[in-house]
Amino acid sequence: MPDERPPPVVRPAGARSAGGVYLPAVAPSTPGTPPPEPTGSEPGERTPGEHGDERYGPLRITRTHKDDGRELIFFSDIRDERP
Amino acid sequence: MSGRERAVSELRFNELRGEEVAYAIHRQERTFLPTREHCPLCPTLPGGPPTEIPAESFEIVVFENRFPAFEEPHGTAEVVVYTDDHDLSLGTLPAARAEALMWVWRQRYEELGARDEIDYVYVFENRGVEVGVTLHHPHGQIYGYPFLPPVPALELAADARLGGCAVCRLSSDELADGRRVLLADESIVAYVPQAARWPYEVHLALREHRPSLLQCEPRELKLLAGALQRLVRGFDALFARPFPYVMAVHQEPTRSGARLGGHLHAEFYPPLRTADKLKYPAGSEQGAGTFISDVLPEESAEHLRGALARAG
Repeated sequence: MPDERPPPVVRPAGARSAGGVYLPAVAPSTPGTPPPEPTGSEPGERTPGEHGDERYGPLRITRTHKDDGRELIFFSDIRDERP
Repeated sequence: MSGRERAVSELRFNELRGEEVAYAIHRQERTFLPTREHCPLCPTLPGGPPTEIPAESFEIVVFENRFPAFEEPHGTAEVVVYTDDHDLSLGTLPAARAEALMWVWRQRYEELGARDEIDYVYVFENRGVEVGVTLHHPHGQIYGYPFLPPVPALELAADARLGGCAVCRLSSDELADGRRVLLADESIVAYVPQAARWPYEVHLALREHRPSLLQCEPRELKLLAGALQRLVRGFDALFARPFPYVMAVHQEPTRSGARLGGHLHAEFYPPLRTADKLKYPAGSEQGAGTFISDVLPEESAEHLRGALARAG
């Protein structure tokens, strides 16, 4: 009986296939250098390139970056600040 | 060389099982059960060692995992620290903080889900060394997967099989039956599923069809937080000890351009079958995919209702 299995698939790095996606090596980040601003936020939700406070429901959001470039987000409950 | 600099993940497709496997070998070096004095999720105090959070106090903090399983631009792995108090838990947080946590989950779901490469935003918490916790400070995690993982995919398949939202159908059935229901109010129902895989497995769902946190009313977020807290306190009262679990929050997939369906709910998989005995996923569970449980769901629901009553 002939072998009807498909030949093995060799996926190039980053190529999507029926099975998924390979994750290529991530370039090392330079300590102290913030990564590019992530995209995808709703317009007006934040100011690109700045680290101003944002509001979300009852929360104040303060964004910053750690020395190694990772994003660090503080969430504060503004209801605590009401007189 | 820091863990960050070495962060390289690789995804391979396991053809035999039809599922992805992520290789994040840099995670071998992640912090493992540090002493309380060296907890990396505590605040950074004057004169003390620097932690992951350079602040003397904070409420809720989210940051990218130093040892990520997934990393931009191929997903993400975030840590969510619930409080600066090392000794609290999801169950013992102040109620307002737990409610704020629901809004944090919602904000992360919205922001991460808007990224093109993220198909699924998964909020979860591992609690206890029994499930592999390496840091005791109260925290959870969020993974942004660059594909739809198998378990949420199974839930979508259940929707198709049942001809509608499976969580709506099953939670409604549980309410009608009543024997396995633990908590029920105007917005939330928590129950031991009729075919639970773990001895004290509990599912907690919104009674209205809410695909994700984004569709929840503020009142529902508050009730959700309260129900989660009551449940965790009940778990702790069951055997009068901190109760280990995996908490999985399932929501609608975020694959771009697709409305795949889904219903916001949390699933708890506790590994204990008695106060000091673990349920191990062993030969039948791992090799055949069939769970064999030592406790009937109706019995564990009765035990848990008693524990919830004791916890108050």
